[in-house]
Amino acid sequence: MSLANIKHEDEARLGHVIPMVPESTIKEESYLQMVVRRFKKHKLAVIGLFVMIVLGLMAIFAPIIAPYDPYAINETFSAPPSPLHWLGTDQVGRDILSRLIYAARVSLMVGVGAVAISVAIGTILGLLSGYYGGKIDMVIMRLTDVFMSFPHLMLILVVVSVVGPSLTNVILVMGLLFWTGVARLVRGSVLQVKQLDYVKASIVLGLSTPRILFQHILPNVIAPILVNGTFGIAAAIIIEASLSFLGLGVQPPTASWGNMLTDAQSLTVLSSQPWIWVPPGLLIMLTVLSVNFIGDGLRDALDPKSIK
Amino acid sequence: MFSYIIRRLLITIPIIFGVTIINFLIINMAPGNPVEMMIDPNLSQEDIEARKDALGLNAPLYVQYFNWLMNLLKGDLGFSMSTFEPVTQIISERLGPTILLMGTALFIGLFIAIPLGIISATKQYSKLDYFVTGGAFMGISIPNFFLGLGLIYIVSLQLNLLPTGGMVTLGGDNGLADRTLHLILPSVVLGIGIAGKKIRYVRSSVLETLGQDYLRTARAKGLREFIVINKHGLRNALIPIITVIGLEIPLLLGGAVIIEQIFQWPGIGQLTISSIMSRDYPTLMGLNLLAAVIVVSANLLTDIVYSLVDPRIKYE
Amino acid sequence: MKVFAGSKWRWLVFCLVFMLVITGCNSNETSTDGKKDGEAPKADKSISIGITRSPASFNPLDRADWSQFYISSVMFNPLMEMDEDFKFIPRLADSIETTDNQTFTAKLNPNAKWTDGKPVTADDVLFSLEVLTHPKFSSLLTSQFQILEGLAKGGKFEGGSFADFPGAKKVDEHTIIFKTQTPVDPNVFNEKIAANLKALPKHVLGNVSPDTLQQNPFMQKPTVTNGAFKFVEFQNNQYVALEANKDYFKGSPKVNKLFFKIMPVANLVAQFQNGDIDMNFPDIGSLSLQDYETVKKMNHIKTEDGAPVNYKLVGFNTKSLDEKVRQAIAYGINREGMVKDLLKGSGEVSTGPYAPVHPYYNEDIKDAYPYDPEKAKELLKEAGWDSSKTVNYIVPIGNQELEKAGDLIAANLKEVGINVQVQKSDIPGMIQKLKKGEFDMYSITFSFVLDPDVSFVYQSGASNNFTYWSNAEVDDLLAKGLRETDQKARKELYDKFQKLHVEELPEIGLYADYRLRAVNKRVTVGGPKDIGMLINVHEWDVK
Repeated sequence: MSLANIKHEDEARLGHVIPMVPESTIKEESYLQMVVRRFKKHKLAVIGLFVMIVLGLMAIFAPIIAPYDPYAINETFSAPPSPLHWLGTDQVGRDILSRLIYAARVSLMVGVGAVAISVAIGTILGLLSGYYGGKIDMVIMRLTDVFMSFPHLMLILVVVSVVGPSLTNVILVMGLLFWTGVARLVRGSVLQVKQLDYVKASIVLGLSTPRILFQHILPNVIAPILVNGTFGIAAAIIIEASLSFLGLGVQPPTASWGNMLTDAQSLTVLSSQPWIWVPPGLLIMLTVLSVNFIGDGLRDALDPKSIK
Repeated sequence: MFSYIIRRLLITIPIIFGVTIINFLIINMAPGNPVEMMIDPNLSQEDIEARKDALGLNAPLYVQYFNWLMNLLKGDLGFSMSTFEPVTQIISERLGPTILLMGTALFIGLFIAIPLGIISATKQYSKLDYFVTGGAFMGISIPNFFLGLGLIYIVSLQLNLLPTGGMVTLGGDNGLADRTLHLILPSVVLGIGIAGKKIRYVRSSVLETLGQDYLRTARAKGLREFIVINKHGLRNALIPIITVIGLEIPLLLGGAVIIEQIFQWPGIGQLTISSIMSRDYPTLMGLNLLAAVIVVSANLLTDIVYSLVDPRIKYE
Repeated sequence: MKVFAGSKWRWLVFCLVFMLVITGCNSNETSTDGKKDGEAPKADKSISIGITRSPASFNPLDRADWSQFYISSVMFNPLMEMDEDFKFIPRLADSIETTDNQTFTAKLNPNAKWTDGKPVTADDVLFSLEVLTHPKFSSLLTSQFQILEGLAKGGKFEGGSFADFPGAKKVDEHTIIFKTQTPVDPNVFNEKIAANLKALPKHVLGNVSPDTLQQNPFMQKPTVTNGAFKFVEFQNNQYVALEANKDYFKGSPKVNKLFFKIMPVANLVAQFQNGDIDMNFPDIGSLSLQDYETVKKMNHIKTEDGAPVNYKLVGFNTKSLDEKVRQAIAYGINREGMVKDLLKGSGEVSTGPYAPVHPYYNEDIKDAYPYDPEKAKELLKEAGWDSSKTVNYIVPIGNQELEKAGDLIAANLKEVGINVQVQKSDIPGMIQKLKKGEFDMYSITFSFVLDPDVSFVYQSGASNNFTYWSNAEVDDLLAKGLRETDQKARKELYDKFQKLHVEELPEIGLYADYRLRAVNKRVTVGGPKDIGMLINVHEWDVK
């Protein structure tokens, strides 16, 4: 992060925390407006956001939108798409479209839940580590090293099989494992921000530590956390899908896009019943792609270096 | 430099020690045990208890860990609890296929990413650039198991071009051609994922270098664009990419789990899943130790290589 | 584009070299069979069997999994082996005879030879028995032998020197006399002792201490065997390669090579399609139901329905669900529908604790608990069922149909007003929950056992009694059944037991499926069977 960058975010902080400075709003657009303007320039990110809003609404209003109960068993098993069941039925006769709609809840919950936990842990540890330095820093960074030395998917597989596969456990496990990136990021930013005059001044002024950390330092590192978190959501969604696909994630009868794909391991399903596995696969891809585009758009919008 | 490496190595030891303790605790927290693998009314509790005693599973956890650690110091990772083979032997048998798969995948990934990234950077904001960047995002976003299934469906089942899985055709000649055919699909799937991530790194790295003053100087001297980019630009642009490759190795280990499962590739990933399923504690401990060592040394190696290619980086 | 021509070529060359190096260095490690002689492929007859579970080892004295048990029986013949008609066929033994149901005289086949030319003798068989019952050797088969005289509960011999063992004595080089603690049905002796006892070569392993025998490399790569095929190579999770033992005492095998190919269930179809496997092995390589139709349509494959020897049940925690509720659940599950829609007709509804083809099966209980949701609701009302209660239902993962049946049962029971929470678990995790009693219902698979004794599952407080069912009359019937040697009297006892089982309902049977047997038409002799498939493996042949 260059100095110009920090200076910029410094202004951002002022614009954010003390919005009553009138000149800045008259003369130039607020930081938020600038971010929005820049974000809008990233066409794919806007499309991604739109898709995510649609998916979000779909998840929230699933009971209203879904044509059937996702657990209800219908007359025909493995039926191809028909006017009655637009995307056909699965191998125990459940409506695939309804299951897809309900499964959006799982993916979004996993994405947001896991990232919220990991960002919370990572931010706190990163702030402490960067601000205090010394022994605390050493301990936290070694802990980070230990956590980074696990190949994540392997560890998740082991842990999930230990605590039992379920939605909550998958979210918790990912949240508790993925904080290392955020922690390092925050620590790095804190180390730089600490050198700034106004932070030094706050320390001299004797402001309380939490106040310095959360009021003066945190706003400066929000941008990278946001970008990192968005990409984290995409990663979490893919990992949940992979785990569920392997049968170690969200368990049926609860529908998840990943576990809906499990049946496709059978070559019969793969070759003669594509309606069972293609739609959930495409939806995972669409969702992850959208989140990644949003992340990319946010990065461009929040990083002044990338003005196009 | 030398003292830096020594210091890094020394730090590594407690990290790996910590990893083994955490692993041991997690693995032993798993419900069930390696003996009770089937529900069989014929299987008597006496047999199960006798087997547990023989495997040392009835000892307190700290004793089990201590025994494991002492054996480790002697270079012995113990015996698998399901096959009774030495863990070192099981793992080394599986390591070859995984390295082959990962190496090929990494190679394919870079083979796609480096040229595309460079082209994309030199033609910034062109249609081609957008196309490549969009493609890169697709590469990151498509779950590798979905891509794998899709390719099996199209290439193996519909077109009948490549085998659906395995490493060799059984009873075949096991020749190079046969092996290569089996290698293509899984490594391409992994390679596409890697390429997706790397294209963007290469692109931004090249863009950054192209903006540097010394390239402007080179151009101003009247050197041909080809030489400017190849001789001066790429070398510097590739430095950050080396780091990124190092960081890729742990991710590859994870990705291999799923791909090996789908394509029945007899590697480390498949072994991991089957050891989890059979609660084979010693094999799992060995696998996790191996993974930790690989990750830690990949990080270390990356730092060292990085400092060698970029003399600007100094270590106190 | 022109600008990059140079670097592109460099990449390409590098790429090719890289490929050659990595594929090249690996070619030694994993070659299937060392032989690459100029033999015409036609003379090289081979049969490949598709299985879905990798054997732990080839230790003939253990049964850590069924692949280990079956594949080792090809290399090490047991004394006797049961066929599909529940008859015991002589293998290493020519005959086992008894006059008093307590002393059994086994005559070994005098022509039996180890692959190193030495004869298989009574000493080898006794050596196996010594190892099996040795306190320091752990095998999951040991307790099968506990009916022999002189063995402690659990099957260990704690009486010191094996020379003093009263349960088995050598008479001459090819004759052994076994003695059981009490008189037993000869079928019990055959099933527990004769079918599980395989000879180990004493002249090879005699000096190995029993506590390290499991880890001995011999168990992974048996060098000296006596069966129809001998060991060539084993790649974990990939294949087991065996080759004909030309000197096999029952006749030289017709095919030169026998492969067991190990793969996920889902891949059996494709391997049938391209001819990579010739047949499946129902017990350790059952096809997935959804693939039945695909395989049946293949022109080069002959298929038939298997026998319903493998059956599924739902067990109840009798402590948490009372009798009326259990009966209500039984009426509430649409088992007929399950067989029709989920199994697509490849199976039958099963009730009670035995497989429908079991000789001791009580026909009277066959039609108990037809699907009747109204009756289920009524029973629940009588029992005062609290509909807000959640029933915790453990479904083991691994068998796709059983997992889906779990979803169906949950949906069925929701209709009659029982809220079921399905919890999937792998087998070790499930066993732990069952032992701790942390469940209300579970699904389980039972496989065929000829001896009707089930005291370790249904007797009060028995170690495998996961339903926690406790009934004094049942305890008494099972204890009597164990001692009874007259088959007719025995059947009566077990008929009564089955009636009680169905009345009090610690478990409700779901279905017994007809596991599809598929075999390539090029195989002229041999094919999949549910029981005793490999007995005549030396006669198997291909076109």
